[in-house]
Amino acid sequence: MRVKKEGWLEERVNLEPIRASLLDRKIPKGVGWLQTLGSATLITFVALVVTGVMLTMNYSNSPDHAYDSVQYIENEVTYGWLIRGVHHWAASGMVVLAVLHGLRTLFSGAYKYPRELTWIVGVLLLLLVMGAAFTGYLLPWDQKAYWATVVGTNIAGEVPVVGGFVLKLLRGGESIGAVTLVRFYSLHAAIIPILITTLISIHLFLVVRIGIAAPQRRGKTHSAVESR
Amino acid sequence: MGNAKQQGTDQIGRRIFLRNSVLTIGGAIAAILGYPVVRYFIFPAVKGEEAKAFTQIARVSQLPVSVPTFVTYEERIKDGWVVTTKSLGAWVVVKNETSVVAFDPHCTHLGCAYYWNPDRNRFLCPCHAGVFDIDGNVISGPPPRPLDRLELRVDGGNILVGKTITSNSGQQKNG
Repeated sequence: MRVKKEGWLEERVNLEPIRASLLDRKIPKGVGWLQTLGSATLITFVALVVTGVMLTMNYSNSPDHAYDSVQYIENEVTYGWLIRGVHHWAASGMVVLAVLHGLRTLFSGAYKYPRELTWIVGVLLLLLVMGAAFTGYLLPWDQKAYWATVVGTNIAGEVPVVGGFVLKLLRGGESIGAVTLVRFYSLHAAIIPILITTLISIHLFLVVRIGIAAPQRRGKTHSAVESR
Repeated sequence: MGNAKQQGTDQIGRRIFLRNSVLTIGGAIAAILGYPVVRYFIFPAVKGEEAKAFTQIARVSQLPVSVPTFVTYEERIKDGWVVTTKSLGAWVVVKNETSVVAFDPHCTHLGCAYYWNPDRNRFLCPCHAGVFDIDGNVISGPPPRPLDRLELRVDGGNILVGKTITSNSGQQKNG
């Protein structure tokens, strides 16, 4: 092994073992593009956080101003149309990619021992992504946003026993209005992103720690921990 | 690199090539996304001053000639996505059909509201005894410069005003 001259930071902090354990992992044979869906989902999340934080800078979460502030972003702020456009499409993209990632995990049996916990965290993540998509849909405060939320919260209200409670919890009251908009904004821009970030950290830790599942091959026994 | 050349130049070459490719493509994507984000962020600081719209305040025919008249009007103020109306006023002096002057109604000393005194034929400021003539020139008192004027246009008998022009230290041409 070649002795490498250490840099200023490396000499003090010694990051090499961390880099090696994160990037120099053994990957099982047969892994391909299907195993990149999780990374793709992560990238869309990063894009959503960056553009989302930018959008909060010009968005007003009040019924009087929400629609106008979105129009302001679209038509007046430099590249506002692009920032909002990326947020809009990355949101749809993240839902699609998260579902595909889950389906790949399901069909390749990668959720089995010893990766049950990764799977459970992943399912929670999928639910949170759905929640972020649903709450974000209301924020433009146009007709489509309003009626989609009327229908969406009504569906939640149909749940036996707790439906009425959930309905009022989501709407912040009996009907959709100022309180609903602020609640959805808080969920969309603060609570759900924090939860998603936390769970992604756990999810990734487990992926790195346990390793990627080897694809099953015809006629061969599945070896779950082949890569360790 | 001497040893590496003998065993597996190919492998190390590929490794470095892939690493550089990933860094280049990743850097390009980050730059392409980062540029609009930065432009979006600094937008309020770099956007030019918006041309202020002219507001119609009166008709020339409604005002007396050579007697300053206080005209009140409402102006639409745009603040981001919020549009409000603000009540404003101006002292308007009509010399003839085409020569009209509008003064900002604040004394150039400390911003008090002044008034027209027809007996003395002067604008008087009650705060610190500033005195201006009908053209806005300082006659006496502490004001540092003539009265500020409003950008003004006469269009088909309508008087329209724009933003306030501060007359700095330079004396104005008499209108």
